[in-house]
Amino acid sequence: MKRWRSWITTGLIVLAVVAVGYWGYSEHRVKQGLQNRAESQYQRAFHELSWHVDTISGQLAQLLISGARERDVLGLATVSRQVFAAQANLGSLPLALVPLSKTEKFLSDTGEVSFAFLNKTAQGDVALEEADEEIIEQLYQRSLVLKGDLSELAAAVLNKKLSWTEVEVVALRGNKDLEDNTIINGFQLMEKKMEEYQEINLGDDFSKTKPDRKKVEGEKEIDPQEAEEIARKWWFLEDVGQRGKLTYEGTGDIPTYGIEFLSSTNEANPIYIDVSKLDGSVVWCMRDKSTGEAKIALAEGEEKCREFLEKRGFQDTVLVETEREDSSAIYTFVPCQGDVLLYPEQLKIELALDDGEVVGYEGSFYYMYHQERELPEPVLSKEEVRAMVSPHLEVEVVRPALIVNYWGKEVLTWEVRGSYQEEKFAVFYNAETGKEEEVARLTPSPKFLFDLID
Amino acid sequence: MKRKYIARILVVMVAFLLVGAFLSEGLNPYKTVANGKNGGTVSSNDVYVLAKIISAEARGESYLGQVAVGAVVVNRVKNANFPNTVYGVVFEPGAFEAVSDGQYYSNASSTALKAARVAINGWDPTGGALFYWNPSKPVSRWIWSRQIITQIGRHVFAL
Repeated sequence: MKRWRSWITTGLIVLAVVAVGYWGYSEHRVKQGLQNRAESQYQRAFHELSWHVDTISGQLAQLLISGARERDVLGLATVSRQVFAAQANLGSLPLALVPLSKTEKFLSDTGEVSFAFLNKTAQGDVALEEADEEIIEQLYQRSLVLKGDLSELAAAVLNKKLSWTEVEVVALRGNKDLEDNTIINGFQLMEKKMEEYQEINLGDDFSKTKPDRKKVEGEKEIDPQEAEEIARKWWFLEDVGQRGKLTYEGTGDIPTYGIEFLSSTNEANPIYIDVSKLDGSVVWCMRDKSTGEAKIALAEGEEKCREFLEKRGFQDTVLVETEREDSSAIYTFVPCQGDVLLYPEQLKIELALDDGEVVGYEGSFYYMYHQERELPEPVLSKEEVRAMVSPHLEVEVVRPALIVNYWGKEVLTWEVRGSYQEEKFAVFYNAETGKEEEVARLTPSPKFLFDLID
Repeated sequence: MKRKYIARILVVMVAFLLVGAFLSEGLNPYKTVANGKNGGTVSSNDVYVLAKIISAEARGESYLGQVAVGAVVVNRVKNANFPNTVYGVVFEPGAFEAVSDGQYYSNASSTALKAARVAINGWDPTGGALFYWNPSKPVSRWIWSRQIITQIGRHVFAL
């Protein structure tokens, strides 16, 4: 009897040990499999990056040695495509925390330049000019550094069997030193070499419209008490005994004081108002509000927004977009000068659709770009533009509008809004030359039902 | 006496096994989807992805702090040195701890969703920040070289 029992116990122990062992082993296999898959993705991204940079370098040189326009067009298109692929490769490597901004800047500069020159050569009859070739030459010099370092590093990865997953887990997430730091050191060295090059001067074509310097850099500075008073008057309009406190100071694009007020209706959720340090303008405000069922129609909401804007000095605005999600909506307005819509100065209002309360205002574009402008008279008439529109576009409205085009320049255009089947577009024709400056897709994204945790 | 001891060990081992098996299933982040019960929302996919990363990265932060985290993602999308879509930025390897450790794969909170909506529409409490971190936690030694522009809640924000 005793014997039997001890046999059974021994048997069970052995069985348990075997089971645990098997379980551990299969867990290990699964983990190894996942790690191999991650490693192979990193290896592919890295070797492709090296290969694409090599191709870019070769194509840049080819652009310099060839003078035929057709060849230029093709070469620029290739560079543009390879830059896109290289950026995707770099983005899928676990290097998010390693500073590589100069290396990334090289890729984005090359992409921007090739796209710009592609526009020039494909639209006009011209081949690349001397000034263009100078820019390409500068890019080529930089590409040599990247190409050399990347292929050298790629060889080291192959030869020494270096692992990218190890880099990710040990060095980047664990913040420890690896036995072999070749990969990270290689990228850091490359970045250092790129830092030694001066920023490429891309010339006037690429220089974007800058915000009003006076507003960003300022003339006088206000103190937090003044900011609190400005914010209070702006939001509450009359004195209701609310006192705000300074929550934070921002030193980013626009230096601001962040003022926080407890809301009179909902004590738990404060209203945040951001006031420019330099001239005391309200840049934006926002409030977290739990909205109930929507009771207000979008058109009625628009009236509430207008009322809010008019009480704060925005008299002449046009609604250009409405986006509704559940029981709140975001309305985009643009101010007008005469009958011209000023898109660079757009304002957004978030409205709760249960009681029509404004819960957010975003005016940073208005703040940075608002000014009295000398607008030219459009050379082309509305009818002339109307005749240029593709027959595929079902036109809804044609109106004059100032926009910032792809190159970051303000241009006076005729805006033609319409639709093609399900797609909605705004096409902007240069009011002087009739050139299509910009086509904006306005089709809302498809929406789905999602679960939330609270 | 001895046998009782062994039997106990056995029971404990089996229990360990069961717990282990349960945990390895239960911890699989992709399977914890059935936790959203209290109402849903209608949203586009990119806004919901943004809401999920805000929810996982800025849990316990104020609404302002949550919009700020969302704004960093949106600023990266607009910046030429980062991927061009919300998806590219969120899933960039190693960019967000919540994606690396799987917390991202829970559902979003309703506050995070509201924060995501305004962040994607341009509300930016950080004034253009591209990085943020919690200074009281151990973070990558590389990140401290960035220029800090503001602090909101527990996070510092940098260019």
